Amino acid sequence: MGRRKGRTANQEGRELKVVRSLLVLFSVCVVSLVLLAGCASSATREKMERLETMLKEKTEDIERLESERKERESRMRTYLRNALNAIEANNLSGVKESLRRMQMMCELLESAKETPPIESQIPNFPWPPPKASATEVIPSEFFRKPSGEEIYLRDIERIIHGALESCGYYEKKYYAVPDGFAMVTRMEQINPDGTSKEPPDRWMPEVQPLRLKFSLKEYITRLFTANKGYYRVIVFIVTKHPFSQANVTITRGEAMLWLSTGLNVLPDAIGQLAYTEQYNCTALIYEFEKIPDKEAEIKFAGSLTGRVHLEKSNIWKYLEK
Amino acid sequence: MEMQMIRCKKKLAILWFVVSGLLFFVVLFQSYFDYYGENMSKVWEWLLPTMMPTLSLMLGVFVMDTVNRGMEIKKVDRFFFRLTLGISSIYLTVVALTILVIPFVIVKTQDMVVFYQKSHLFLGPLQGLASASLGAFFVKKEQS
Repeated sequence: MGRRKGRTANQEGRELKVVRSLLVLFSVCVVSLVLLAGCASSATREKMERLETMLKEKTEDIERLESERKERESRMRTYLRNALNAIEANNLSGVKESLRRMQMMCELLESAKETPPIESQIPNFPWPPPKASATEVIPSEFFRKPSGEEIYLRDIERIIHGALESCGYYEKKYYAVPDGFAMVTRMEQINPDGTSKEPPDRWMPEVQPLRLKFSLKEYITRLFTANKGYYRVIVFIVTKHPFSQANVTITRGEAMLWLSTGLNVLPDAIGQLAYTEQYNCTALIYEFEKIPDKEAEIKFAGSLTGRVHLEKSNIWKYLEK
Repeated sequence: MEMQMIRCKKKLAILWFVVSGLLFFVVLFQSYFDYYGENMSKVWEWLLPTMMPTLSLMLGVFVMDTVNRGMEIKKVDRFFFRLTLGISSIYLTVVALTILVIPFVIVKTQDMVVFYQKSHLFLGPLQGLASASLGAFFVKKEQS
């Protein structure tokens, strides 16, 4: 009888173990799935990085072609000047040599696809600019040279361009504003505290599922709170005219269009203007909030100031250097 | 080999109530944080039928057992108990994964609702199996 009771107790112990094992199995399944999904994301990330590199290379190619074109034009002018000098000096061989070089250059230029001069097609930025979420006037000391020598708008553009490149803003577009220019960054996804998201999420127009980089904190957040997306476009306006903002509400789509309609480089016509005491550089921040299944809306009473936006994106730090 | 019926019932009930409770609170917190927006009611319409019939049945049987205390101890085949426990575990795991996998695959709440509705395709048969096996413990007339 006692042995039988002992056996029953043993069986119950085993059964309890089975129940516990099943519960453990259940937990392990859940955790494994979460980890597997995180691992599966690495392939997508690599692909996005490759695409980003390709895009950067293409942009560099375009810039290189543009500089080559300018160099050829400059050479043509030199050959022409040499030819004219040779004619004046009655130096027939010099004239021949210059003409031969000019002919070679013409052949080269004919083979290259001609593009219309960009100076004649500078798109204008809406003026006065649409109402922004936040604004910050950047101190002129960031741009002035210690030697006090004269600086031009192209120098200002170079400084802002360098700061943006250092922060990962490789795509920018240029517009004309009265006696100056506007530089627009690509729309990026940001965290609620103003820091930029990690690429490729940073440049995605929509919030992506949690598959690129797994973190438990992010998973818990995504599990319990709505997938709100925060987006930001920064516009640097360099002009000598004080300006207010138009009482116009801009949509996210319109802000995204700024990147496709602007110029890829700052035109010489604007770049050669002198940056005098009257000039100022103002950063306008357009911040949008998007709730899933709803249209994105611009945040006018955002919790972040313009300065905080620039600091969190690290642009301020690089401008200050 | 046989086991006491009451012990089997308790073990199955613990499994169902613990897992269902966890999932219930996950969806409850999601609702508090307005996770599903306008589609919240549709998500509850999906979750409750996956759990409540079984839980109600279990609770009802436990109440009846309490009322009829003093009855003879019933026995059940051990293999059948393990089979039921296994099917229930698989079913509950799939229900849990359907909710917990959402952050990895879907962002829009509308798509989440569609996903939940589509999950009936694979949850339906599993629920049928789980209910049928549990019926032997919670519905079947007990043998002495």
